[in-house]
This record gives sequence, C-alpha cells and structure tokens, in this order.
Amino acid sequence: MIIEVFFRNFYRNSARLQVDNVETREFAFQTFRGGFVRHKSFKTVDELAKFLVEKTPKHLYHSSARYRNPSEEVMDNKGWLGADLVFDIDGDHLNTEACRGVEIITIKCLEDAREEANKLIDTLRQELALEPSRVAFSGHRGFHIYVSESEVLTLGQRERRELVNFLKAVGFEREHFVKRHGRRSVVIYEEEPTGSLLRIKKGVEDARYLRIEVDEVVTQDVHRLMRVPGSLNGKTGLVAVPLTVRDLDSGVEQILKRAVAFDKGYLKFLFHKPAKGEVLFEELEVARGSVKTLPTQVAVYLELQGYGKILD
Amino acid sequence: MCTSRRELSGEFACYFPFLEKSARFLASLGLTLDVALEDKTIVNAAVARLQRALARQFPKVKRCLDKPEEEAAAARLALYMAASTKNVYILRKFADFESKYFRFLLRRIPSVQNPSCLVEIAYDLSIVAKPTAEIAPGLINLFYPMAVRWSAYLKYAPQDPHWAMINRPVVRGWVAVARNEFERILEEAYRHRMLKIAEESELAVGKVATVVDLSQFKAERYTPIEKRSSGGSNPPCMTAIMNALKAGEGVPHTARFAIAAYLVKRGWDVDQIVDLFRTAPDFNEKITRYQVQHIAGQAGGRKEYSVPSCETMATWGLCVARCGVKNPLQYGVVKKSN
Ligand code: SF4
Repeated sequence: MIIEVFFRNFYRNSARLQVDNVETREFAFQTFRGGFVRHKSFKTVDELAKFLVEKTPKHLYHSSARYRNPSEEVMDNKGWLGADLVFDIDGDHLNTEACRGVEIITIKCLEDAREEANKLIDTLRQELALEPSRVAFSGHRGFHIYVSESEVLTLGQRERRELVNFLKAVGFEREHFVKRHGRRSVVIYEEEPTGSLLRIKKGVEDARYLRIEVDEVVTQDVHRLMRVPGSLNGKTGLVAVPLTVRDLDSGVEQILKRAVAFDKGYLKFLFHKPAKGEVLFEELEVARGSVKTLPTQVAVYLELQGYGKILD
Repeated sequence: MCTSRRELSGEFACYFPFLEKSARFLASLGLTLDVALEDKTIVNAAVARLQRALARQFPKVKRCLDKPEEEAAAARLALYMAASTKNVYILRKFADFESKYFRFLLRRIPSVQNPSCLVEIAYDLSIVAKPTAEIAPGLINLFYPMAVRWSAYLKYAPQDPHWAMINRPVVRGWVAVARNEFERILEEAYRHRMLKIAEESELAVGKVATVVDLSQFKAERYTPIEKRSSGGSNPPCMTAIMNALKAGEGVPHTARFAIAAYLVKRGWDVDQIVDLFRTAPDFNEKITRYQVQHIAGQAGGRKEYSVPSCETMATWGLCVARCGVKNPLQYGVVKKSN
C-alpha cells in the first residue's frame, strides 16, 4: 500500500515526536494490517524513532500513565507510578452548529474545538492553577491537553471523575451560593466573580460558558493510551502536531497547514462513494466511480477515510 | 498556638493521637510499642478504648488531663489491636469512630480553634490548606473561611452531590469551604491516616497479636442475607453496592440512597433493608431506620422515591457497567427478553 510507504518516509525524514519520560511509558501501535500491539517500551525517543522507520505503524499511542516496568503485560505487574492528567477535546462531541453530525474535518468545527480547548486552558489556570505541559492537535477533529504537575500525577480514577464533573459543572446548584448577609441575601458569584465563580456568573447568563466539553472517559482513565504527539494519525494522514498554548490563539488554518505531512505532488484517486464539501482546503463535488487528480494529502486523507483508492 | 512548646504536650498528643506530630512526641518520650506492651495500665487502657469504640462510645476526655501520655500511647496501641484482629470490620469501625471523635475535639478544644492551628493539623494530615483570607478576603472569606488545595478536596470530600466541587468557590487552585466542611475533610483524612498506619505497621500488628487476647473484641459480623425473592437478577451497580456494604466498607450517601430505593421497589421491607446497612462502619439504627422509611414513603414527605436513572448513577460514579438499560430496575427485564 502506497500510504504505508508515505508514512515510512515521514518517520524517516521529518517526524518530530514529543514524548516526555519516555522510558516509563507503555507504547502501543496499530499496524497497517490491522493488528494491535501493546506493551512496547523504549529507553529513548531515538530508539522509538528507529522502531517507527522499521515497523511503520498506522497509529501510534503511548500511555498517559508512567510505569516502573512499562513492557510488563499484566497490569498489576507494571508498577503504576502515576499518570498525566489528560484532556481530549473532540469536535465530534461538540454540540455546536458547525460540529453536529460532521463527518469530514471542517475548519469551522475545528475552530469550535480550538475555542473549547482555550476555555479549558483558561479554566485550568484561573481555577486550578494548572499549566499544560503538552498540547497537541489530535490529527483529526480535536486537541489533546496534558498536565503533568506532581499534584495531578497520583490522582485516582475517582478524583479524576470528580474533576471532570467540576469542569462540566455537573450538579451545579445556584442555592449553594445564595447566602444571608445581614439583612440582605447575596449571590456570592455575582458579588465576587473570581476563579470558578466567574465561570458560573457567565454560565448562568449563557450556558455555553458553564460547561467545558472534555471527553470524560479519557480524563478519568488512569491507564489511557493517547496518540503520540508528532506521530501520524492513521485515520487522516495528518500529523498530531505538538503545539504551544499560544498556537491556539490564532486560527486553525495555521495548525492544519502544519499538520499536512504529504504536501508534494498529485495523485489519481478513484472514488468508491460520492464526496461533497471542503477537504483540506480543496473544494470537492464528486460522484461515485469518478477518477480525479488530487493533491497527495487530500488523496491520502480520502483513502484513509474510506472514500476510495489511490491509483498508482 | 499549635507550635508553642506547651502545646506540643501530652495533652495535644492525647487529643489527636494519630497525627505525625503526636507519634513523634511519644517516640521522644521513649513510649514505643514495646514499652507500651509491657505496661499493664496502657494495655488495659487500649483494650478499653477499642471496646468503647466498638460500642460506639467516645473515650473519656478526662483521661487526657490526668494521664495524657499514657492515653495517647493506649490509643495507638488500640489501633494495632484492631488491625491485628484481622477483622476489617473491627478496624474500619474503630477508625471511623475515632475520626468522628477527632472532629468532635477539633470543635471543642479551645487551643486549636484559630485558623493557623487548623492549617497546621491539616498539614500534618498531608492536606495543604490556608485561611481563605489570604486568597479572597471579601465575602468569600466570610462564608468560606478555610481553603484547601483542590486535589485534597477531591480526595477527601464525601462523594455526594452536595459536595460537588462546582458548588464551592475554586480560585487558583484553592477550594474555599465553610468551617464545618473543613472539619469534615480533616476527619476523612484522619480516617485515611489511621488505616494507613495500620496497613504500614505489619510488624507492630504482628507483635500485638502475640501479647493481647484478641478474641475479646467482637463486632457483629455480617450474616449473609439469604437470597430474597427479588424477581430476576440484580444489576451490577446494585450488586457492587451490596457487596461493599457486606464487606463493611464505607459507602457514600448516594449509593445508600440508590440501594435503598432500589430494594424498596424490589419488595424488601424496611427491616430487611436496615439489616443490610447494619455492617456499615457508622451504622446508627435510629437514623438509618428513619432514612429508609423516608425513602420508602413511610415517613417525612410520604412520597416513595424512585430509583435513580442509569444516567444519574453514572454521574454519581455508581454505574459499573454499561448494561444498555435506562434504569437499574429494568436490568433483569431487558436481559430476559434478549
Ligand atoms: S447501566 Fe444502569 S443498571 Fe447497569 S450498572 Fe450502570 S447504572 Fe447499573
């Protein structure tokens, strides 16, 4: 398959992986033949990079957890040392106009995800005094945010679940903030909107401010496998680009441009199903069975999404 | 106050025997486990303390004025005794009761009332805390005078919708809480501390077992309830709650509510349900009976409560499987039709 060759070349020539504490993490990958391999470990990022050129996976993951023996197969023998606090913000889960029911990545939906990610980062800072250690584009419809301060590493599943509830404002009740002060009744978040109270004050006026749409399953799992920042997403052929918090200030077009790994040349593509809409800056309206010459990245994307086949 | 030399006294150690500071104080007096085990008065005091706790009676405060060091050593010895019975129910009940007593004293001992002293006790329990005045001096401070790190709050606050962190001011890493809530958090941390001491002192626990006759400590052990006509199998969430209750584990209020509401609908009567709770470390027959009657619609508002939906169960952290039903009550039904 030609895509596998593209992936290999990428890992040989231009991959920039961003992994910390590499020796303590479990790595897992999905091959182009569909197998799933777990419990790999590497001493250094270089060792990992070499492996990627040899084996060239379709998807590459690493554990949010750190282990004493990451390559042990039985969970109990791995020796869990702690786990990053991870957040996944996915356009797929956003109930915004631009994201509802989207199949192909759209800039608009990705913009909404970016806004949500910024909201999360602000909340982490203002309310919890946490600073992201890594931020990455997921290579598809969203963003991954990692926090790895010592305060979070050993949080258990229960605490992480409660934290998600806090971010999603689950169980919020206004009455808790209504207090008697002398003769009058005061609403604390109206009087002193600071930290979470600012979010609540805004959220009471406009519900969109109250909840932060993180994927709860991802955050509460202390053994989660996360896509490795800097690796290729096998569903799109885009790079899960490592970002800085500042990168999220400007529009997603910049991010998408950086995520394009295969920007040279054109390929012939046979459509097995019709496609309509904008795909990676390319306007498409094609019927089933037609053959089109497309920029390499678009052809790779469409094949990985099951729209047809690259003709080589 | 807490730090003054006078405070670091037998009296302080006697009131709060499971704090680090108290342990260090006793060690500095040479009151080690071996010494305590040799001393008949201390052994007897320890036996009495454990017996009283199992009978749900507070220790005698006066002893902290008469013989504070002895009583402090006895309290620690009592914990080892509870652990060496190898009956988790005895250990949990002791830890539960002693931590309630701890909270009771936190409110009543005049010398620990000022915030800086409370902060210090929290610190001893590995909770980073400060007076809210240092982060939000205005109204927030007025209603929520103490602040703890959010991670400690998540760890020790009861798992109960009332305690959801979103319902407290959370400012730059600090959760502001009312004074009584702060005490409740410390109580939980104290209980954890006691269980941790028991867990980490295998050697001491083994020693105690050879010196003290442990058969004198009795706690109603759970007699399994025969399979009751419940019409179909119970869903995993309810089974999990029942198992936790049977094991004598502390179970959050939400779970108690859910299981009681569920069993009422399954046709259990109030007595049967009260029996199920009997093994909880903080069991109180009168209160439990009233609460169950309330849920069953026989007291209070006289409205029978419905069983929380799977969605609610999930937000309470009680859903343990995704069975594909909307309400735990439908569990058996759906399964059969499959
Ligand atoms: S899906 Fe419903 S019935 Fe099943 S475990 Fe979860 S809460 Fe219980």
